[in-house]
Amino acid sequence: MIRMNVEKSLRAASGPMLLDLDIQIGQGQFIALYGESGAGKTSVLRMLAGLLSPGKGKIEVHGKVWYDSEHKVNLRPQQRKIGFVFQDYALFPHLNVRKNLEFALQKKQDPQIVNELIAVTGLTNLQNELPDTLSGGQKQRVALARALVQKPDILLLDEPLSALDTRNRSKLQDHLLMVHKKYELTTIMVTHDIGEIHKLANQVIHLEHGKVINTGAPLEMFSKNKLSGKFQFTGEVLSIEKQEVIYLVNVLINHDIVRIIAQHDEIEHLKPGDKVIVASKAFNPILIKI
Amino acid sequence: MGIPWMNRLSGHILDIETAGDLSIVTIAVSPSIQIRAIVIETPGTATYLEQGHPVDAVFKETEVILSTDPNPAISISNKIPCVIKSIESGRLMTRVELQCAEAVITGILPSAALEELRLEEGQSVLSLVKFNEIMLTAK
Repeated sequence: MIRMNVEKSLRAASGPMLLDLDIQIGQGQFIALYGESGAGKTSVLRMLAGLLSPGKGKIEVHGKVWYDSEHKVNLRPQQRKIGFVFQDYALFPHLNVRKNLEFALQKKQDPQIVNELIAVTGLTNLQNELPDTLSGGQKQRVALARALVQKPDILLLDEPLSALDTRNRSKLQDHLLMVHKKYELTTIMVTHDIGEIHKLANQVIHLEHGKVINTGAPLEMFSKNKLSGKFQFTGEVLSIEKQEVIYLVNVLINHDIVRIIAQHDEIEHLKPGDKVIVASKAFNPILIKI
Repeated sequence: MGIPWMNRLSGHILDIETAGDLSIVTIAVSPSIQIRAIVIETPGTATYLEQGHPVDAVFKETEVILSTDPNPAISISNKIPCVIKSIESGRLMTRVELQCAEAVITGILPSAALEELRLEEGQSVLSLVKFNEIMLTAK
């Protein structure tokens, strides 16, 4: 559990702003920090990472105090088990992929983790390349792998995918989800992309002018009361088959597979693995007692 | 939430009739098209349910019924005058694109029905959609 109860005066583009937060995040959650530019999202990540001192309040992670203004506790960034991925990769240009990862190793740490992360993030064939020769998506995979070298408990992502094109973005989202589960991380990601939030996050924290104005599951936050269909579920597309002039889409909802008739326009941007909302009117289903 | 697919008719709310937890919402789409939808919402549960609020009426292509009779005696509340824009036939199902005032909607019908009614491009038809098949999305 991350407990963050802090106050911090910031100078935003629109003038002075008081960041006033009381946030609790359960272990293993994938959190989307959502809100307009200047709402304070990046400051939240920087305060958790120890790169920005709140000035007032307390940050407690898994029962350990990281920051406490009253008792003058302020762990240095290196003492906090955190991985940070920035939008601009922040790789060392003169070190190849492998050396960029090795640089993050702590003293006496088993270097085997570097081999594992290179394999997990699909960098085996690129490990001897310099960052400049890589595409944006590849660089961001290196940055992600490097952020995981010290086996952090918390992964902080500051709009890591915003510079990537749709295809690379989707691929990196898959990698993020995979490492989040594999390494049992608590992940906090700043993002503006609602599709991305639905795909990755199980909880959204909506910030506005330095304050939390809403929290909830993505489906609740972004579709409730906007679409009147009461029969709504989130699922994952398993397959799409063309049948005459329509398409048959298999969707996994919890442990059940449902089949849905769709039109060309509906499936145009869909592929297996995508998260979808399945919505219908409450008037359509029938109930059968079992 | 943007839904780029499905049949979508944009308009604004003209009238709301509420009983219990249910409301019938009338939406003005164009001078010749009004849509009625029943929803499990009331002005108390959904803030967009107010007169004049812009909404889209959304329904699946498979819920469209076509009639060649311009004035059928039928209980379906939404009767939308349209002109057939294009027809794409499959063995079992046919996809029909319809121009309805400013909007274009699509219907998926049994191919047999298309032959029976001798539907052709350019023909005037009435698109029928039951009031319980229409979802509303607030803007």
